[in-house]
Amino acid sequence: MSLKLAIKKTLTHFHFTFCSAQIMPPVNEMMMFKLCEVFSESIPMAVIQLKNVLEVGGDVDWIVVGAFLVSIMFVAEAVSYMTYMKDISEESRSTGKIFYGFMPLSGHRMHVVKISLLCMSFSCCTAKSLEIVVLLQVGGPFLAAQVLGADLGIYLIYKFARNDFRYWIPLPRGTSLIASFALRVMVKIVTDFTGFLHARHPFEMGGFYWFINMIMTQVGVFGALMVKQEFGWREGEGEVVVLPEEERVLKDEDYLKLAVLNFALWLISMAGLYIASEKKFNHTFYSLVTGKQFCRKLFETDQAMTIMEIFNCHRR
Amino acid sequence: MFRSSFIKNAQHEFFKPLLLAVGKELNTTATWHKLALSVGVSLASMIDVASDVYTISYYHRIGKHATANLMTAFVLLCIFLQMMLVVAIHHKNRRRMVLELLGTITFTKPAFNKFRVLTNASIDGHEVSE
Repeated sequence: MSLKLAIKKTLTHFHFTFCSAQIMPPVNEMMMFKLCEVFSESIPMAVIQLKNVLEVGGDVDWIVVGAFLVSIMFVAEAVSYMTYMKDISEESRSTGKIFYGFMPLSGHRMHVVKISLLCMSFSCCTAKSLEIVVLLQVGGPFLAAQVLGADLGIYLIYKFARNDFRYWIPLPRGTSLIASFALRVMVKIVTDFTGFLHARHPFEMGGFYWFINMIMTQVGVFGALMVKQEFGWREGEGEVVVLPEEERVLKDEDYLKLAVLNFALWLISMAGLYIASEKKFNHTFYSLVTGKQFCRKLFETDQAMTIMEIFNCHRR
Repeated sequence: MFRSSFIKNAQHEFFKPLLLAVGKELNTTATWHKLALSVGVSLASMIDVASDVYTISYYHRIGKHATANLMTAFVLLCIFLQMMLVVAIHHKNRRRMVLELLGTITFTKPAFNKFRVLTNASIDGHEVSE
């Protein structure tokens, strides 16, 4: 009996090291569903609405401004709630003890972490949207696509170089690489726009790249503003009608004030997050561990619940 | 603190299992509060979509048709991706898949998702994207 168990354990160890696969618990299903909404609706809407709000003339429709704020708040709330639920869920804390647990479960620190998460997502969404809008104003969709594409390309090269590209979800044969590509792109874009804290998981971006990505998001706004200062607005074409500066509610110099305020909010929220979260999980904010290394570490914790999870849920 | 918990553990062995049982019960019981929270999430999702629909109609009104069409495309893309996700996760149980698809197009699925998370719903076994 013990020999059978040892063989099973060895085989599972091999499987766990070389192929990552899991069932979809309710928390993950909820997260994927919200991610879809944030990725394909809330983020594009936030960018389009911010562009229109920044370029609006004298008569402002406040419902449209409200709709923009609703979009950003929806993004911030959805992402911080996903991170919170995933971190405190029974399943995560019983089978993923080496990663989940940064969120204090009671007291002032819990509230500080929750508010910091909200502010961080709000700040990231505003920063990235502002960066894209400024790039659209300077060079149109082509320039914005180039910058986003280059950023995405660097991330995918990083994943390939670390042999960490293939996604952890079990998928039908022949679809794994395409689905991995789509899911990696999706998580990257969502993290760019929301600072999605769960993306620091080794199965997603990993702590180190998540942290660099956060800095790049904030730096990107000031970079775009510098480019705008250098090259100015592009000429209007087709439906693009640029109002003269004096007719716009928000002037060009207000962009910098907005970016600085937003950066201050981001710094405060990051400090709050780092100070108030559980100290023994601070390394997850900058860890270099890959998905496969994480799987191995998880298995080596030798906890009954984790091993049962592997026996029950990992099929390949 | 330590002393009191030590005394409790030593003298009342039932204490820790009792608390664990109570905690588990609290985590899994379906309550009106959890239901209200779940419905709230669904309402928030509907308000978000409603504000988007208003904005789309506003841009049509002021003649920015390209912007309005782009926004419409993103709303439709969102619904399409969510339906694809439902099919990928629940394709092994057709009845459940149809119900979940219905929830997706009526914007009530966020409520079901949240309720399942709040009540620690168990996995049937079909929720695999394999």
